[in-house]
Amino acid sequence: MNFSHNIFKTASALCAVLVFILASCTSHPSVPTSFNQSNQEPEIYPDYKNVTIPPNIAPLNFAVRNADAAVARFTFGSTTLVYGEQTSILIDEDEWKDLLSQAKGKDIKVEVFAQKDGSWTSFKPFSISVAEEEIDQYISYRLIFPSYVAYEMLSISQRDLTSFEEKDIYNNMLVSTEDNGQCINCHSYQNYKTSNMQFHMRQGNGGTMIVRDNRAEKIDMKNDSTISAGVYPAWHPTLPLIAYSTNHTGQSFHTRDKAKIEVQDTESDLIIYDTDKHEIQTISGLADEMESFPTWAPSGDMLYFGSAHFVYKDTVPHETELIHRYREVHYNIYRKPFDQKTRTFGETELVYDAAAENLSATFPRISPDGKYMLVGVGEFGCFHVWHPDADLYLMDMKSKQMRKLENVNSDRAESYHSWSSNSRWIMFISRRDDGNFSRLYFAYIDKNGHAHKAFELPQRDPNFYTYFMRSYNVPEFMTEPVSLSPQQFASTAKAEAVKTTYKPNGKGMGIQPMLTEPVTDEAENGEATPATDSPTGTAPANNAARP
Amino acid sequence: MNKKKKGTFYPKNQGTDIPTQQKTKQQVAVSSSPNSQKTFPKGMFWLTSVLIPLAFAAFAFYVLVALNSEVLYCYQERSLFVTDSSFFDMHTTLPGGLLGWLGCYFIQYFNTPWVGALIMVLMWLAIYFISTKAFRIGSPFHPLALIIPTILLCSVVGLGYWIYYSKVTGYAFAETIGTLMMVSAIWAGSAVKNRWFCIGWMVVWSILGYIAFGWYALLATLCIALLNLKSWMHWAVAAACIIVIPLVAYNCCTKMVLSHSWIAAFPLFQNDIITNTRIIWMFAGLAVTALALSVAPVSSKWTDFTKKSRNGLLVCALVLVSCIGMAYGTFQANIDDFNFHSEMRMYRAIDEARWQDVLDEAAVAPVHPTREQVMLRNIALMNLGKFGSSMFHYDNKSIPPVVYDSLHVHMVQTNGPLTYMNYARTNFATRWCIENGVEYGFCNDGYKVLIRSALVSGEYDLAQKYINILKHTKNYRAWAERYEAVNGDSVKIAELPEMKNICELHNNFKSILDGDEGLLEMYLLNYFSNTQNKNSKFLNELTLAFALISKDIQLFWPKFFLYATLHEDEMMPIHYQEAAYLYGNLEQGVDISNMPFDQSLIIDRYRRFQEVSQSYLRQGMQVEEVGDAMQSTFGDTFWWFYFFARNQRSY
Repeated sequence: MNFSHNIFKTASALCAVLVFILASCTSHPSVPTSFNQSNQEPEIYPDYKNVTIPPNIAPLNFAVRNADAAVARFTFGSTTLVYGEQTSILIDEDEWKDLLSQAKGKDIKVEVFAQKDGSWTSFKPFSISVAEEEIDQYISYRLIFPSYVAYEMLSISQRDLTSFEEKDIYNNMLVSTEDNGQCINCHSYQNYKTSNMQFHMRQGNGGTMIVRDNRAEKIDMKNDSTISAGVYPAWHPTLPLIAYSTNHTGQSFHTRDKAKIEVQDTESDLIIYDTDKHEIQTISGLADEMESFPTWAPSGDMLYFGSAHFVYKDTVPHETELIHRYREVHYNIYRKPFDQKTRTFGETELVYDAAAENLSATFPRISPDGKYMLVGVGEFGCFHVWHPDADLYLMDMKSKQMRKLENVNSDRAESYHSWSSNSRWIMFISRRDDGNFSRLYFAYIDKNGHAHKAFELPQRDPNFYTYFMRSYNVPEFMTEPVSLSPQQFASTAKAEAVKTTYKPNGKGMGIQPMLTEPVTDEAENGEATPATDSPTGTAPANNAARP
Repeated sequence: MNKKKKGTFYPKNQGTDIPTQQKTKQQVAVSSSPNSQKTFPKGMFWLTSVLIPLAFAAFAFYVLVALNSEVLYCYQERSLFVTDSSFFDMHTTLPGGLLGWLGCYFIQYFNTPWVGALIMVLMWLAIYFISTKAFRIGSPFHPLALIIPTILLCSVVGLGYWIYYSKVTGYAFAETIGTLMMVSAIWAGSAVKNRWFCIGWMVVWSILGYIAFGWYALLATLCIALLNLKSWMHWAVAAACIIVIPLVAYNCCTKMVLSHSWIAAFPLFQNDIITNTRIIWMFAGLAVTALALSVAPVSSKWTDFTKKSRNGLLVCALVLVSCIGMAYGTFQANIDDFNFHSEMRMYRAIDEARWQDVLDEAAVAPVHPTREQVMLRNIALMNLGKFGSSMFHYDNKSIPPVVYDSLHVHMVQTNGPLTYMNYARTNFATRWCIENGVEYGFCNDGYKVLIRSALVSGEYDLAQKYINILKHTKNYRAWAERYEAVNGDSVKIAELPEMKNICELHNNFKSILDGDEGLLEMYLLNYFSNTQNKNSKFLNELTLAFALISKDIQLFWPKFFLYATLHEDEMMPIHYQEAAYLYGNLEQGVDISNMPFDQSLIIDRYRRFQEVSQSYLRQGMQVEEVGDAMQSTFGDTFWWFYFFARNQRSY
């Protein structure tokens, strides 16, 4: 939890200090001596049964359901730890770290004993596998109420995965007033580093907050030549470039469907922004294509994106037509080669033809080792967080084989996903808990590309998610925390925005026709190659005027 | 320290001269002990220090319980207190957050309005008592200490429709508790004789008090400085605390703008259009009162005045005027609009499925209802199956809600979720619960709608999440457990009396992409009047009733004929007959000559309706005047509604 928040909480309730001190003294209850043996696994929440976890993750505190009291015994080798406070299993952080360091690459045995109506039951033990590979220490996400139109308090927060510490990177309440509220979204980092990052601010004090070398600057990307300001961002791994989609987005409401809401783009294009020159150019803007979700290959020489081919009949306004035909929108995954020296794009290539399978693929994400592409796939549309049918699919970039990822999907929405910097962990949001609130899940991807059972972001209080009314949104890994303070961001947000200029496209950046066949070459080979270390600003984009 | 600073509102001591220092001590003692009232009639002490405060307590209790019990209940419904550490954490991440948390706790007692009111009045008496000590008010002027509780009373009963637009956590009790803490801190500060201890107390209180109680702590610090007016040290420390502590808090807390750090926990009612200045003025008045009472003891002029106030009549007059002023102010602040209160009673009755109570409430309305009342009444009619027989027996001509400022009241934010749920638009009910929760805070009322909506739409895990939250509340545990018992079983859910009709409607809806544009009534009107369904008698009647309300002849006939087919051998309800007879006469497209209209109630009465209306029009009356004139005799007919209920503005 935020340090400053702790100050307030502690001081607010003086008695809580005493309680805190007492609570900080770890107590180890004893395992009941007499109990009934059950062949069933215990009902615990979050479900950490038989999951694979990184060796540097915070304690997996959990609650035992349908019990009056519970204890759990964690055993690895000669180490045995027993925890239990009422129905919660609250693990000491230091002891947990020691346990994980011992069990790296092996399994921890967990036995759960639950008391119900005065008698104890010992459930079938389960294991927690500890992987050899660590997970990036920090993640960030937006916390947002699962609302539709209204928004009030929004934060982009960072969490230390090795502990329970969470801090705001930025909170819109620092600048929002009743008559000038601010929406924030789409935080993004260059190559997992936070010294170069960005997020958008809409409406009140609007603009795009771009941090270069830990210096924040507010940018105004609006211009008459693009559909909108930048939306979905993708930092080039090394160059001072950010690819964005520009979208015209609307939403409408299902009267009965559990999906409840349909968010649609009526049009979208791709642009690229040069953070040195404050220049914007169009990457792709075909009339019957809705291009979106840009992402760079780790090498920086290929831009992946999704695009839906959609031809309007133009008998009614586009928004209305899309409401009637929303199930006809299917996004495929494409890519464009990018020459980092000349900063020009090549012809578009089809990577995954989801439409042919009557599916819609969004948010391609290439693993840092270049071996796999993870995408969100649903039956239609672009906003899978509201689609219960949405799942994560994995493509082997060598064989181009796409498959639904085992062990991580549920019968509810899985969406926004990202890779850890070592390519062994994925993070995604899922609504499997209750169908409405997005929660963060992690899964281990082994060297063969197989996913292990996903586990939920651990919290100090295992019942945290029961009462937490906000959703996790746009989770991103970071290898370091954001160093700028929320107040520094707020100060920049209140400043005048730097204007950008739109440069008409030249040949290289120009709009290319879509290919209809999936690529079969192996331009993206299995191994990640070091990105070209081209000095920023020395390779000008082709600025020749487009006819 | 200059002893003059310890002056009080005491009457001048009589008798031999005593040294200044001794005199001061004795005077303080006189002011605080009834037995030592040597110069002030004993009866006056009982009047000013006991009877008047007790009278205030009785008066406040009367205003709260007798005049505003539904408002108090609404406070409770629109609040939430969950017995969970995360709920505490959530509230205490802001300066003054503890106050909101405490306010939410005590608001639970408004579930039984007189209990909550009693607690609140006792707190006000405590504020009164402590104020007399903190501000060193002499007995004759003790009623002045009731000004602050009176302002608090006004703030509770004077909120009006802003109650639906409150972002102030724990409002009502939070302000009382904050004030109680403020005067207690002043009392502690004034009781400390040692200057350094007093300054130390100011610093400690400013830090801890600000974190817990926000601006009340800063106000207390300022008051303590005023009580020590001639001590520059007190002023310097107070100024430093008041300036620095909020600045530090802003840099520690990431959830408030800089300017709000000085008014943390101040009851600021705002939306994107207007600010409720009425409440701001009330609490500005409270602050000014506290500051004035702080400065009064050290003002030489004021002290001189109090010394001359031995005259009982003058004191009585002052006290009487003060009391009358406070009572007058309370009645001025109190929102006594019938519809405002009636909406709350009807809403609660709908929530508890007491359909007949809703109709009883509608029947006694002395003024035209608001659209919200009309809509709530229609829900009751729908559930009692009286749409066709009684919907025009009640007043359908509506007036806008009465607001004391330019606040725009929208039904999606007042009764929207409950209404949508009763019409089985569960996604829309959920949507507005969430939207309103995001904007104004999640509350008991919202969770109740969310639970029932999730149950109806088969989202059982989601329902369980909300049930788990309400199970950790004081007042709704049993309520939540009742629904938990049927969670996951659609048959049992549909067997619940209040859910039966909702489930039937929900099962007969198709899912489409839609939107209400924030206009609840217009959306329902358009949806149902344009819907045709033969699988559900209940839904069919609803579509027919809404076709009547829409006054659309083309929409009416298909639903009318379908109703007749589905209710073969049943008597056609009177309002449907009225509509068919009217439409048949207005347009000749449908042959009504063979329809078995009631001779007396339809044919003869319609003829009289025509004769009377024509007669009035021939006299030169305007349509609106004709409508008013005919309402007493024909206001219970569809015909009157069709011709005279015009310009009904939904919101």
